[in-house]
Amino acid sequence: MAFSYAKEIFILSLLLVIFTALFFTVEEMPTFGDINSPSNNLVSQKIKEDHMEDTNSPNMITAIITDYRAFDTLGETTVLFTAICAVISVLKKD
Amino acid sequence: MLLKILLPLTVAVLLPFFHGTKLLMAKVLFIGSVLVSLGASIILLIGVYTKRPFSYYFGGWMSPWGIEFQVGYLSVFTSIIILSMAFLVGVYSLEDMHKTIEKNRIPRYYSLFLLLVFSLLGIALTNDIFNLFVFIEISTIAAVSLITVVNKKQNIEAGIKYLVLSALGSGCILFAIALIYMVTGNLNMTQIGVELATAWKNYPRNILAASSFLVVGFSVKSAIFPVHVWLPDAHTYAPSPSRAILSGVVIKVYAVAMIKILFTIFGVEILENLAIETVFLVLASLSILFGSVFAIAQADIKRMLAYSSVAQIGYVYLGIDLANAAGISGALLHVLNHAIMKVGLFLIVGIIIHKTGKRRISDFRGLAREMPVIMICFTVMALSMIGIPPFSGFFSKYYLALGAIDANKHIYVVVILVSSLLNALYYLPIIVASFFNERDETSVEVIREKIPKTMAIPVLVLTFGSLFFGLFYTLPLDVITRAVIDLIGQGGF
Repeated sequence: MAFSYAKEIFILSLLLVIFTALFFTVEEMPTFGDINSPSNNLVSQKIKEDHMEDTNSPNMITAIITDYRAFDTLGETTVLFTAICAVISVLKKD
Repeated sequence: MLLKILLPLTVAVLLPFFHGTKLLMAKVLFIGSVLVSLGASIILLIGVYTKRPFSYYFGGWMSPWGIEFQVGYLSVFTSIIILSMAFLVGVYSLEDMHKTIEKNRIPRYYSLFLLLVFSLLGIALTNDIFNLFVFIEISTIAAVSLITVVNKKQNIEAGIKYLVLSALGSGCILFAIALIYMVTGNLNMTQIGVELATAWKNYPRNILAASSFLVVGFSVKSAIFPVHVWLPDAHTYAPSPSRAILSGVVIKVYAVAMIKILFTIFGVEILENLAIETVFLVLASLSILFGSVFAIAQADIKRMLAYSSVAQIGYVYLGIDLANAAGISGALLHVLNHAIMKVGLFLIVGIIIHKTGKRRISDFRGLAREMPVIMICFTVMALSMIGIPPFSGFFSKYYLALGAIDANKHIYVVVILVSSLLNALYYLPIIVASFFNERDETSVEVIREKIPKTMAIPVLVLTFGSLFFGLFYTLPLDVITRAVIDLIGQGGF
C-alpha cells in the first residue's frame, strides 16, 4: 500500500518539476505576433511577399503546404498510407 | 539521387496490389527496388568522392525556403548501410516469411518494409528539421507494424508498448523542434546552426528545454538505458527479418540523426555549455553496463541479443557524446560494424530456430556438430561483438577508447573494457557449449533438411563482411573521417 503511494508521489513530483521548468521556458519565449520575434525573419517575409509570383497561389498557407514544403506534405500523406498498411496487416481476416 | 529515395516509396505503394498468384512479382519488385537504390547510393558515394558533396532542393526552392537534402559523406555512408542491410535481410526474408505469416500478407509485409527503408533514407539524407520529424513518424509506424504483422498476442502487446513509448518520443522531438523554431525562425539545420550561435544567449532556458526534449525523444527511439523497456519485447517476438532490421539498422539511424542535430544545430560550443554531453555520457554508460548485465541473465537467445543491442547502442551514443574526432569516428564505425554483426547474429539465430525449433541458450549444446558452418559464422560474429582484434568489432571499440582518452575521460575506457568482458561472459559459453560439448539424448533434434540458399547466403555475406571490415577497417574509416570533418571541422584532427 505504502509502496504504491510512493510511486504516485514520485510521478507527481516529477511532473511538477517538468511543469515548473516548462513554465519558465514559456515565460522566456518571444511574444506571439511580436514584430521583433526571431521567427519573423527573412524566410517568412519572403514567403509573405513573393508567394503570389512564386506559386500563383493567393493563399499563403496553400503556397507553403503544396509548393515551398511540398515534400513534407508527401511525407505526411505517406504517414497516413503507412498507418493504413499497418492496420490492414494487423487485421485478422482479409 | 531522387531515384534512390522515391523508388522504395513508389514500389511500397504498388505492392499491396500484388497478392495471390502475383507473389513472385511482388518479391521481384521488392528485391529489385532495394537493389537499384543500393546501386544508386554506391554511385552517389563515388560521385561525392570524385566531385564533392552537394545539396538537392525540393521544388527548386533554395535553402532557407524549401527543403534541402544534403548528399554528404555522412548521409551517403548511412544510406549505404541501410540499403545493404535491407537487401540482405530482404533476400533472407524471401524464404523465411513463408514460415511465419500467411501467404497473402507477404506483399503487405514487404510494403511496410519498403516504407521503413524509405523513411530511414529520408532521416539519413534530410537537412531539414521538420522533414526529419516527418520521416521519424513514418519509420515509427512502419517499425511497429513490422512487429505486429505476426498475429499473436505477444506481438500485439510488444507492438503497443513500442508504439506508445515511441509516440511519446516523437512528441518530445516535435516539441523540441517547435522550441527551436520559436527562437531561430528556421527549419533548415545549417541555417539554425548559424542563427543559434547568437540566439542561444538570449534564450538559454528555451534551448535547454529543447535539448532536454531531444535527449529524451532520441533516447526513447534508440532504447538508451532507462527507457529501453520496449526493446526486449519488441525484438524477441518480431519475425526474424524484422528483428534483424529493427535492431541492426533502425535504432542506429536515430543515432545518426542525433549526430546531425547535435553537431549541425548546436555545435560543440553550445553542447559544452549546456552539458547535454555529460547527461548523455552517463546514460550511455549505464546503457552499456546494464544492457550487458541483463543480457547475461537471459535464457532465451533472442532476448539476450536484444539486451545486447541496448548495450551496443550505448557505445554509439558514448562515442557521439565524447564530441571529438576519434569518438565520433568510433561511433560511426560502430554503427557499421554493429549493423553487420547484429543483423548477422539475428539471422543466424533465425536459421537455428528454424532448424531446431528451440531458442533457449541451454539447447545449444553440441549444435556445432550438426551445423558447423552456421556455428562458425556465429562464432565469428560473437568474437567480433566481444572485440577480438582481427574482427571488425575491435576497431570501433578501439576508436571509442581513443576518443575517451582524447577527451580526458578515462572512466569511459574502463566502461568499454568492463563491457567487453561482460560481452565475453555471455557469448563465449554459447560457443564453447556448441563446439566442445558432446551431443547426447537430451540434445535437441535438428531437422535434416538443407537450409534454403536465400537464407544461408546473406549470413555468409555478413560473416565475410565482418572479417573484411576487420582486416580493411581503413576503408569505411576514410569515409567516416571525411564525414567527421564535415561535422566538427578540421580542428578535431
